[in-house]
Amino acid sequence: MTDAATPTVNGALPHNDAKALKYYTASQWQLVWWRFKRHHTAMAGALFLLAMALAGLFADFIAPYSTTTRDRDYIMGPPQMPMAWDSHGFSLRPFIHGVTTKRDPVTLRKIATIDPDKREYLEFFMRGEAYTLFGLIPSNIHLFGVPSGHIHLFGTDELGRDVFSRTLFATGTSLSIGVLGVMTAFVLALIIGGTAGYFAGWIDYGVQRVTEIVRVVPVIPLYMGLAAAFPREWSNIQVYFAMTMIFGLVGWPTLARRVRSHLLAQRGEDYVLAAELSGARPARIIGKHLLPSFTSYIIVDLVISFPYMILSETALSFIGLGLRPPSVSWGIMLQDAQNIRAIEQAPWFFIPAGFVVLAVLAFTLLGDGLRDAADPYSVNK
Amino acid sequence: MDGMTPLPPSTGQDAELVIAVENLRVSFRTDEGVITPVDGVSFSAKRGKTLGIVGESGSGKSVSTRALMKLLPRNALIDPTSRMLLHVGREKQVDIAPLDPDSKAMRKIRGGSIAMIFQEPMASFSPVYTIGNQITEAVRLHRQAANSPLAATETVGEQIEENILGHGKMTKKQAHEIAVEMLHRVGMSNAGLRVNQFPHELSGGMRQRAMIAVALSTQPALLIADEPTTALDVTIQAQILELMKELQDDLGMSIIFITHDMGVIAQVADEVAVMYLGKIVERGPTRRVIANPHHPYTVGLLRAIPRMDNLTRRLTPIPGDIPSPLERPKGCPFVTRCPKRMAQCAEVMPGDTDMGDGQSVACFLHG
Amino acid sequence: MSRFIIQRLFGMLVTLFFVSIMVFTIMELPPGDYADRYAFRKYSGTGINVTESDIQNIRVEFGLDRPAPARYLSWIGGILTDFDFGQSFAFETSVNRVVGERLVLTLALLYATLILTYAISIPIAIYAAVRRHSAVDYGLTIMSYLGLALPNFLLALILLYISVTVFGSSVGGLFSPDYVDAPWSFAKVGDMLLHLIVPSLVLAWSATALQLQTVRATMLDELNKLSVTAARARGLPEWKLLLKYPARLAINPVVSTIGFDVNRIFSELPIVALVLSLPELGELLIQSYLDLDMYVAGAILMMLTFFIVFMNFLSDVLLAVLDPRIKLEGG
Repeated sequence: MTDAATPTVNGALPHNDAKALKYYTASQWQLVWWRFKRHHTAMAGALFLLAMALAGLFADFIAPYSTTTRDRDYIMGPPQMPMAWDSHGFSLRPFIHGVTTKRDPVTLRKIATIDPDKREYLEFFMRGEAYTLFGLIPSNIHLFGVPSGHIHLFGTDELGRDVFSRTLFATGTSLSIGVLGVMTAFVLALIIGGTAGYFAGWIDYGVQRVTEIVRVVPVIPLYMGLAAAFPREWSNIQVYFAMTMIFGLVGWPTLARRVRSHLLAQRGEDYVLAAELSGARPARIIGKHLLPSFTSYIIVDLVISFPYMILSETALSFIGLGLRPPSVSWGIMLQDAQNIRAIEQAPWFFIPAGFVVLAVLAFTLLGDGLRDAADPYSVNK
Repeated sequence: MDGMTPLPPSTGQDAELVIAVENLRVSFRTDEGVITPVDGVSFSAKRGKTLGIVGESGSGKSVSTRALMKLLPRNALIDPTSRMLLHVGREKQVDIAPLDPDSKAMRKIRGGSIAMIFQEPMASFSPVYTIGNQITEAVRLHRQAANSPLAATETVGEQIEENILGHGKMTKKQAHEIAVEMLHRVGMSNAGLRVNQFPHELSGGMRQRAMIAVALSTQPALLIADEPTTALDVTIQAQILELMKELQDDLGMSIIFITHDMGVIAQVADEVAVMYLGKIVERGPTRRVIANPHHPYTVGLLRAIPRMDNLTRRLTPIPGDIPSPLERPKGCPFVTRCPKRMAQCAEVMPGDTDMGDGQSVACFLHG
Repeated sequence: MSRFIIQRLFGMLVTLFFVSIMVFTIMELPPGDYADRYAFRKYSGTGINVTESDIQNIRVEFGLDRPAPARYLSWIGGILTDFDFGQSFAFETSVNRVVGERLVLTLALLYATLILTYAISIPIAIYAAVRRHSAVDYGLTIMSYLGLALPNFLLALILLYISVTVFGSSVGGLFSPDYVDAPWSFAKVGDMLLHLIVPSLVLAWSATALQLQTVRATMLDELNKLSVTAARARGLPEWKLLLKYPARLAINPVVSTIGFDVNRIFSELPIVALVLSLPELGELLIQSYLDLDMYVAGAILMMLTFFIVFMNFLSDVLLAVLDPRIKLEGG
């Protein structure tokens, strides 16, 4: 339908002159933002990721315990959900039921049972274990806790460690590995892809070859091979940064290729020729015309490559070739779920898996929304 | 076998109608509301004659012809009072308007009675099939194996065979022969070779010739040409127009020619209808409308084309843009851009005024 | 056409050459070398004191004292001339014997997964594109997001959990207990095919999600093409039209990404195999990485990559057959 309806530009159809004027004079980023706002799922994804990042960043404060604190009275205990009423009536302040432990007369193992008559009231901004936020601010105030006994929103693991607290810290670790991995890949891609696109010739050929090789070798086995080379005596910090390095090393060719192809595609456009004809210097053409024309696409590429980094980290740590305990990441926590017997008895070991899925989903939705918003000429379909 | 059987020659002034469209209204349900790109349009096309429909993009000219073929998107609605009478034979006529787009009857009309060619010859062919494949497809869909008068006296055995083998469908070989002959007929050299070529192996002009071959291979009574020359070079454009005229003289089909170019209309059309924002504002024999335009819009259109006989005259563009269908004025559609608008124009749509000799105009200046 | 094939074959060899260098580098990366690990494994706990000169002797015995390029040449030479991938020290036998049957099982799994992926994604995606905004279409969107977000190994874990808690039996393994050590027979093949269903469904999970999106998007593009309208204007019945024009072209991107899909499947294979305890190459790969049994790891990495490159080549040739616009000469 060529001339049925005048094409309606995504964002806003100019209904009246004032609105139309605003639309036609808006900057590129304003247009992107307007279109992005209309993408409710992408907005939801962005907000969710923001919440996750904040939770990871402030894990020390939000989590009631550290990653290694053990509750020996409540080993492999199921999640405790705060409630507002029980058989004894209603309470304005949420509480959980207390735990009493008995010894099994036969095995002499401790068995924790929930005591429905014992109420443990939740307290907020409670003093608890000491920590230093961002390694700078010493504090011992936690968002919530119970004065006596323990609270385990997501239950405990085989050593009696709080799954909720560990999940929060794991969120911080896994997301930050993703961020650092993407950043490393991006910087390498910009330098190498830019060089290849600019100088062409043998550098370009070399980049193409490397890209080709990285494209045919299966990614996770490749990561595994590189991770297998980490010396055993490396510290957790060393392993952490080594992992971001290999993600960057394997990730850059794909991004570099895109940078290169964006550059090449845009260079042939008429508006570049027009700029050249009106006497613009190369620096101005690159800075004022070429870069803005594909920054938005590069951002989309970055967002889209996040899930792969996160999934790779999870997969590597899951099989024992990535981060090692006592570090916590989603993959390390899921190691506990490898054992069929364990997950049969303690399905809450799956909770970190939920975080992985939601994070990847949020990144995918965000990426899709950004991709639609980034195209300045996208038309309502 | 002879592929083409010419229709009876047209009989001058009172040429018989092929299609008569009455009060066609097409609406689309969109996110922004219901729009009506075609609002109560009537036109007709005669055997062996060309009707030109001229208008800017957004005037509804494409939509109204696609309505004839039921090629509108799913959110389109043809008003139930619209009538589109297709004349089959001398007495019989079929109203296309109420037909289901997916019905067998409609499929017989599409490609069979009415064929269509489009603006983009490259895009109208599928890139993965040969030209021949796409012609034989049309031929085998619409032409019976026995279509020459001689074949009427076939044996009983052949008739039975025909019934079993899918209602006298042509064999692939027969259809292929027709395809080669059609390509030859539209002026392609080496038609036997070209028939096995892929669209991307042909030049733009050749592709449009091939497209005409596909359309005419089924001997339609009406050919709808939707800006067939807009995407072509001027010299090629002239060749294609010439070819269409020749084929029309030979085959006697009627043509509805859609374009935004008054110059093309002057070359090909016997009659012209000027469309603006879903309405026909002026119509009549082409010579009369061009020599003596009455509607301010037609006047504007004619002023905007350069003329060889008067090179010193400045071209006058029509000010402003065609409004979006969502912002259609209440009265005359042209009121927002009309240099001669009057108070009543914004309120009431003027009716058609007969200007004599078949010319009529919808404008208060003449009402 | 033959020139095109030869050209692509040559390109394939070049790629494999570079890949082999990279694989060899990975094999050399872990600290220490084969001799260290061999000595450690053989003599640790036996009370024999291993000296540096003993290790040096082992090095000379295996030719490890030569410079890296020479070792690379003998490694790649062994593969090319005798199909010999070296020695596994963890199993104390040749790599070929360790890999053996697992290669067949891996390929069976790969092809089962590919067939499932295409058999599910292509028809559903085409249907969803034609019936846009239908229940199938929305279902497809949700499924494809889930498929991208839920990694295969988590899906495998969940299936394992369900099968254990609901059915009381595990879905893991490739054979029933009776057949594990039985010689090959029709019954054993049948048993294996039955056990292949769940793993290949798990492996097909994300590849299907991706193809669903790709095919649907291409199909939507193709449906709006003028050539489809032109064919409709010829009076072709709707279903015939959909199959002949848009659906036919929606297959092309699928064909062009076969190699990519194989890469994806092989990438996810090791972890899924670990969770479902499938006796194939991926699981062995993880094991050999953990043991630093690098000749086995290198052999597996080479084999997996070879199949990816080979399937890439196959997809190039297939695409050239399917799409006449692809120039057979040059690039």
